[in-house]
Amino acid sequence: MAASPLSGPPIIELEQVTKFYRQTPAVQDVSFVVQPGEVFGLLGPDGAGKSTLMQIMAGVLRPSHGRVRVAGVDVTSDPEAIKSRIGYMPQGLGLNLYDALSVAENIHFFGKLREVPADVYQRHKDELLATTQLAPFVDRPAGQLSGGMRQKLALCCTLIHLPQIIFLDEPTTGVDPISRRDFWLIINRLVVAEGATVIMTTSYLDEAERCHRVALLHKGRIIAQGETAVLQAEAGGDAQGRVCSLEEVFIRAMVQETAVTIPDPVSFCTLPGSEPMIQVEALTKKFGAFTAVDRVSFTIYQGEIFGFLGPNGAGKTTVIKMLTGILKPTSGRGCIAGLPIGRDGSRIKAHLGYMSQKFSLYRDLSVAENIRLYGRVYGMSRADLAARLPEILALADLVGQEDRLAGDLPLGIRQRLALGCAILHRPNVIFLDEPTSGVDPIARRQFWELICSLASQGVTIMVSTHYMDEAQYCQRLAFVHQGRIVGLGPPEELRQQAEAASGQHLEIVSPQFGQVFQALRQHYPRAFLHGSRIHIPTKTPDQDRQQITDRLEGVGLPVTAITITSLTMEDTFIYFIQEQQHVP
Amino acid sequence: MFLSRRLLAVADKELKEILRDKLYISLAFGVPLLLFILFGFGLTLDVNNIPFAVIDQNRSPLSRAFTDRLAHSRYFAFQGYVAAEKELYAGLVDSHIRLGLIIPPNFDRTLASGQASDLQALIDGAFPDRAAAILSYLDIIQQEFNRDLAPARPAGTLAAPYIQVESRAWFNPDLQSRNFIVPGLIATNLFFYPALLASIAVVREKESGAIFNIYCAPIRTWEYLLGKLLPYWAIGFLNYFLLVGLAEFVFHVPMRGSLVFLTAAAWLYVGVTTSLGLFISVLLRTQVGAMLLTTVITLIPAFIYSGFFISVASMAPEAQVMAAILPVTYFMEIVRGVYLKGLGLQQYWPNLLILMGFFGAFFGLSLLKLKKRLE
Repeated sequence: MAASPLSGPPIIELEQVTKFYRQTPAVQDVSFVVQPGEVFGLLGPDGAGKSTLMQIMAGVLRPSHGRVRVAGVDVTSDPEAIKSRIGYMPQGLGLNLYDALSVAENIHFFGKLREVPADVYQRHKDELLATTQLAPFVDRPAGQLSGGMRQKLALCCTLIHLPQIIFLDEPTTGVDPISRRDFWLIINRLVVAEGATVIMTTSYLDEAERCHRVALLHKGRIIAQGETAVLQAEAGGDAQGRVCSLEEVFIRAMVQETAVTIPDPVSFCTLPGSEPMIQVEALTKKFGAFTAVDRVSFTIYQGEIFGFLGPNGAGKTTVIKMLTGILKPTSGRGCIAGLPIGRDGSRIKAHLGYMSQKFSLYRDLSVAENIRLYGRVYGMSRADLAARLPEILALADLVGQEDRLAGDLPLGIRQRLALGCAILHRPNVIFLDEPTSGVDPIARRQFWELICSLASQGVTIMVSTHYMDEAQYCQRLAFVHQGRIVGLGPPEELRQQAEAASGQHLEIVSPQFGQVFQALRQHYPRAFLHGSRIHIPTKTPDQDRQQITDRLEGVGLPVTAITITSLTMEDTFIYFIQEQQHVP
Repeated sequence: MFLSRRLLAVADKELKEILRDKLYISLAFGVPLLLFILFGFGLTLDVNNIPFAVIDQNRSPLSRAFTDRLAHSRYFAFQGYVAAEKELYAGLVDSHIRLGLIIPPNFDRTLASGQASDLQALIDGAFPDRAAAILSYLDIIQQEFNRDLAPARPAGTLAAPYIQVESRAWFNPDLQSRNFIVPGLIATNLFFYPALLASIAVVREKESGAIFNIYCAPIRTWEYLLGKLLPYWAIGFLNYFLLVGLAEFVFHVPMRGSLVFLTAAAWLYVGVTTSLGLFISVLLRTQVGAMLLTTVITLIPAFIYSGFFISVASMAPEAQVMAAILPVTYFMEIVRGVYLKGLGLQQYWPNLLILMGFFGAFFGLSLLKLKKRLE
């Protein structure tokens, strides 16, 4: 039963919670409440303090100051009292699993640990395995599951005792879109059918729109909180009259906090040239029996921004490593600027800039030392380097801060510096491997501006990401799933193609969305909850809209609005994955 | 009640993980096997086959007889005659020989005349214990030679000692150092290895994040820790049987005391060393750190302070304090007592009590240090 509107005594209350690690504040003066039966989202970039708050609420981290009450218990003084009623899933793709144990054994261990009675255990287990579609894999060791499957298994383990209060720390980061959809099915079922309360963190702001209420966290402080729909409405619509995205809400709140100027959403710079810069044909990489990259083919033109969109483990990094000559392909061909990859290593490398995932700067070296090191590695002359240094500093917004250690820079700035180092030797092709992972929305936008300005200078850019919303910045896009490219083309074309084949969504807004959802689900089995709204995929929107209105009137449930929405990039991706699964 | 379902769940899970980790399980038995064999065969305090060379300036049947006697004893290995002293020096310098003998020109005539003849022995004194051993072996052989020679001499010409000190070694009549070393190795191996195996138990889950499953569950810390301890304890105990088997069937070390008593004591002792590893695992944050610390605090002290080489009684006072605070010292006494002297519970019950104390201390400290909430 979903309580709607959400009211009554809160199930979680935080009052002025502060946490210091030694002298460094991780969380400062945070207060919020969570109502029973809601999905509450803690949003923010890496290092905002999300995990710290989750651990404090779950009673596994002692706050420096402040009061935390969960289900009527003072967690600060008696953390053990809540532990039988909570489920907590730590950050990282299934890091709390036991790799040597099979799927069934992992679930079994958690069942025993929680002392779930045998009959209840069997019922929960069957339900969870069915919803997560893990049932065919019960005997497979957890260590041999894909990232998405691991995360779903971790969720099964966390939920096996049907906790009242569920803490999920970045449950969907880097997870493939299908697993992510399954994940939300489970969450919504628990909330609707069992009255559970879910508190989750995420750095995907588009996904966070599925939460009933959210708190935006930046540098350890809450900069905005409230009902998702209300926050979006308060921020006003954009020029086309569409609802404001949570990213926009976040950026506006950050601007108030930090007084930076709002960067406009990036729009297209120049059209790419028609000169092919990177050509890849049936590129394949096998690690033993595992095929990491399976017959991948694409062409990237000069000055183009080409996006590689896919979850962790899809093979994005492997493709980039083969193109940059770090890995040798098992089979297939590729060439960059007319030079075949895998041979002529040093000649090709002079053309390439590469910014690797997570690591690309020496944290113990200063800004200037990092730049000089890269320059020397690429064999630049002293004079050339001296001329280039100020340009890179300006690009990274680090003029006058040459002596700061790279490790002390905020993540967003550090990534700009890393990009600066990658383009120091003026390459015509650059590979960026998840450059914006965990970066805050403003820094992310600034980073994309930088990428666009490079492209407009004729640089060819291949960028990988697991943020669906970054698809809009790419001129062309490849959906990567399990080592294959399942869809390729300009993002808008891909979306329209998916829409033409699978239909659009009807979005239903109602103050009693819980009951409305229950009532509609019997007739529309594909209906799902999107935050406090109900989405129904349909190919005949107008007809269905009328039908839904009639049905709800018949049972006396109120409806605020029914609108037709277009597919999101995630929906589009799912469509292409499912299309591909029919191809042998 | 004692073996709660949650405790069993943890133990069962841990055991499955260990058994499926092929590398870990082969190391768990392979390394003690290797260490035991290496030390058992390689580490001997006996001095055998000492290479020696001779300058025979006498070249008589008697001088050759003396050389032969040395060459045919199991202590010495004859490397040949040399002509000049500098060859002896060279041999000693490059360790080709450990002993050089110079037999003087009038060796046979002096002895025949009933007088004592000088014999020059150059001994490699780099390792004093070995030098002393060489000297005493040489002494024994020379005495035997004298005695055999006595009837051939004119009566009364040589004051033959009529009181001969016949020494007989108790407990280890062959004075085989193996009978002493191998049981000692059981004690040192079982100090080091079970601790090392257990030292990753908790810290591995800290590294992966799986420890949060425990922090967030209504399981008590003692249930978790005991559940963790049991599988490692079992593996350590199996190691004990492996080592005792090797001592019996590979090294043929006789056991004079009760195997049952030794096994019971070893079970307790492995519990102590496993819980020491567990404590380190609770204390540290990384697997590498835990394994390093465990190695440093167990492996070296086990050989130096436990009485393995030098008896505790003859150590410096500071070293005796070290010996007293190491569990290995107490089990060293038990294992050697059982093997060499046939002693048992009657003599060693205080040792068992002390080992129980160690177990209580290590497990208790682990309980105190493991918090289900981070600071």
